[in-house]
Amino acid sequence: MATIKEELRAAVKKLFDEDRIDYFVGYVEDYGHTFPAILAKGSDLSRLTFDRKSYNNLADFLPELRGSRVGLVCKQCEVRTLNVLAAEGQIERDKLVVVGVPCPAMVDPRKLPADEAGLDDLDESYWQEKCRRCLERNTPFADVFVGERASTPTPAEGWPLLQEVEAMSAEERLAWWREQMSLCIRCYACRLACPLCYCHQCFVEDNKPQWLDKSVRPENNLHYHIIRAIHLAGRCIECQECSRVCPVGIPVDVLNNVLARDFAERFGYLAGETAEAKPALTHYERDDKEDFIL
Amino acid sequence: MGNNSERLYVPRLARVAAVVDETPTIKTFRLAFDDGPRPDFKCGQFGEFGIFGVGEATFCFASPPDREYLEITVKNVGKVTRAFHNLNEGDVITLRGPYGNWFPYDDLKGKKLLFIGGGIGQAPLRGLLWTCLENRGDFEQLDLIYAAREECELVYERELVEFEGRDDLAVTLALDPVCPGEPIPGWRGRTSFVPPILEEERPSPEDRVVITCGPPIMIKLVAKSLLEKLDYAPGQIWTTLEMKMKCGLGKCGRCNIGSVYVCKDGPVFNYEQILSFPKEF
Amino acid sequence: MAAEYYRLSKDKVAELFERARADYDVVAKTRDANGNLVYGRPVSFDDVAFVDEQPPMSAKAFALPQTEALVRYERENDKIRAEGPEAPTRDILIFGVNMCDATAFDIIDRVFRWDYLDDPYLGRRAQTTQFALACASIQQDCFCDRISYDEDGVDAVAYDLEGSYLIKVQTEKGRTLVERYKDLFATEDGDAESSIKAFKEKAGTAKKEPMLESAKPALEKAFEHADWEILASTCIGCGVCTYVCPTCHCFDIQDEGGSSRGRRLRVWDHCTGRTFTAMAAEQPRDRQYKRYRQRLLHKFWYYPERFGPLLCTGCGRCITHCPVKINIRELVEYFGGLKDTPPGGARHGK
Repeated sequence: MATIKEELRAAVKKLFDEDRIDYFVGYVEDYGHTFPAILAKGSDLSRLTFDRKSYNNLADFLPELRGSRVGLVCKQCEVRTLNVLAAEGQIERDKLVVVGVPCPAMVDPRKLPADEAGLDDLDESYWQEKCRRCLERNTPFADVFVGERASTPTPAEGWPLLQEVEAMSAEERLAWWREQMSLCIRCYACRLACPLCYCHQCFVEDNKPQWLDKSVRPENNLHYHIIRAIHLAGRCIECQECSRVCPVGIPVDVLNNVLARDFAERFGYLAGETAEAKPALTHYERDDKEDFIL
Repeated sequence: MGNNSERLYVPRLARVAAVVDETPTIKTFRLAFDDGPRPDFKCGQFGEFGIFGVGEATFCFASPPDREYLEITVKNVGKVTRAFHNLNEGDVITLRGPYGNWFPYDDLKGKKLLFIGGGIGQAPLRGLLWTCLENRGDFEQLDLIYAAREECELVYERELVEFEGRDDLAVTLALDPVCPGEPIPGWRGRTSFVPPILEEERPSPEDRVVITCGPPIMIKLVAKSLLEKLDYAPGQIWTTLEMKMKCGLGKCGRCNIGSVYVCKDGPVFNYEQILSFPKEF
Repeated sequence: MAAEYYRLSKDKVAELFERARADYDVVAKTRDANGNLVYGRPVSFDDVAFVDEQPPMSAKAFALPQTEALVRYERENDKIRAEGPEAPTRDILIFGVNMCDATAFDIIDRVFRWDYLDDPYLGRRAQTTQFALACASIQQDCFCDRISYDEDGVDAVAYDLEGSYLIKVQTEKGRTLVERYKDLFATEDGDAESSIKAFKEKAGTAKKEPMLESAKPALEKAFEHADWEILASTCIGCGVCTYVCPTCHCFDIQDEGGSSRGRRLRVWDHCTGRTFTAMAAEQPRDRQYKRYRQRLLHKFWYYPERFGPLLCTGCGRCITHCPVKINIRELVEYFGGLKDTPPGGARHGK
């Protein structure tokens, strides 16, 4: 039986051969890593892979490739990204060829053992947080499916870190965030790895007026992360890439997750859940809660 | 080698002595120094000028080195330059420098010099042009072609009128054509980009050196025209490059083009050097 | 000075650490609040992490802090007073620093002391002593074995020869360290360099051909190579690689405060970012691959041309922490003619 890698390579070859795509955005393996590549026709497809280190949300590359016909690998949890990007006019869905994959659960790179031989057998204590709580491992819609359908996972209850933070008093929580923010180096990897932070000019780059001082201090860092979280409110699809890419290990996604939950509770809205759903903050429903109006 | 002050980044303070509105977006500031003589500089050098609380920006010294005063010409394009445009007489600014290299005056002596300026690119040429005029005997011939997009974008207008009245400097003023071939009503000069003027006038490369500064596209096209159509050697063209700079000291890594630090090895470059750079710009 | 060799018994290390704290601000590898490895200030010797693993952030910040005041200014009546930065109050000892971080200081020094002397950096640098601990193993992304730069300029290096450390002292600052606590150090009688050589062979850190320095001639011809665009096309333009890099030193200067009181700051900046060279009229590096190319070529062509060594110690952090795992070593090998196949197999479609 063909492995998922072989199926994937064959499927991509077919897409190029049939001239259905200009670029393919997928994961490749080399030098001991799995990482994203943007492949054009004529590229060596023999390194294409999909494994437990296929971390990136590849939709991050789509706004830049706008106008081209693009194929991409899309994990189940990332499909919502496509819906949000399409609703916001950033991608043309009819120019995308989505390759659906059964997700084996991604490992947390911070817990990756030095010997990766048993990568496929690592249990949930090694998984990324989102994968522990995953409800469905198969891409719900796709133009091409590869691999064998995965069975329904048994999600873990709750998110320990989030529960820990929520159990804190307001003062404790502020102190905790201050400590986290003292680690931030403002490399902006969280923003740039985020498929929904696609602004051509981010507020952190403006200098007329300069919204944010460049000095790296906890207050400024918190200012940045709060503004970013608010810009993503009702838009974040919780891929947790922001936390994964943080070189100093700040759980940035906690902020986004809390806001996403507020949207679920207040508006019954889950960003990108369906292709048709109107973005919660740009759309008014008669029964939207108005209890914040004094 | 390093002319280090003890505190490299601590600036001198200068007072704005006068402000001249050159164009709707360009002003010239005359600076006075209350803490000692004004900094000594050479034509082509630059400084890091700043306003406390706003920041620093790079400007060339736009006045001749032998004058009592020091002037800079600032186009309002960014955060710092906008703050400069809000300055009044008496306000205090900061200055580090002079930094960078300068035009090789002694090597230019005895030559015919053709200055080609574009827009605010006239600023780094101005000091040298005046120095040449004041030592007119050092040069066989002096020509100036000065171009801008619109009439209101010509800087040093009063000086241009004075230049036009001189018989020891040939001046050609030009504005970018709005509609090709159509004259601009009321405009005393030519309506043309610079390369067609060069190709029409055909200043011979013999004993001539061209000194140009302006928008990068103008510099490129002027050089192309001189090299390809008028048989100039790259070594006969001098220009001064604008790159984003922060320190001016060869430290901050912002102005590199290949292994060249524009702030240290430039900003004045011979076109032969420029052709050896990685094809980045 | 000529190198000197000593022995430090393992049971003396804790005492050395404690006694050094009286004379130095001692920095060592330890864990932060999230359990991540950092160069920090351990509360006690037990908090020191003796591991080969590198902290994500290198040690460069002890000489080149991410944010530092270059100028402090204050308006008094009609006068503005401007002063330079405050000098650090205590000497710093970086205890057990990785070799790839220790050697980086000497590389950055060359920029900050050529021509103009950068007093804020050099002042800090003069007060920093590196006491390096050589790695006993090489990690996945490391490539210090492919870069000629070795122990150059490191004040003191400890090699773990089981039972005891062989200490190689190379500078006056290193000698001062040993002199201060000389009762803890024994003289080394054996053939120290042979022991070091054997240690490196075993650790996997011994040099292996082809060295990356040899890529330069081909890199100089590869500026316009068509594959830059496709191979660097996944670069997202963040600052991770430059900020975790022990040798990247580019910075911005920014004012913070009002017109009457404030600071002019030096803040790290990254050439991979969109705004690095953006000017009002022009953006010379207008595509992401050009910005990535600048970083690579600065390290393997431009800097060496000017200052000698590579602007890289092979620590591999920029690979480990890159959100898209761009591999600078692979790209240097590819564009530098040491390898035929492009990393990841991507080629330009045109």
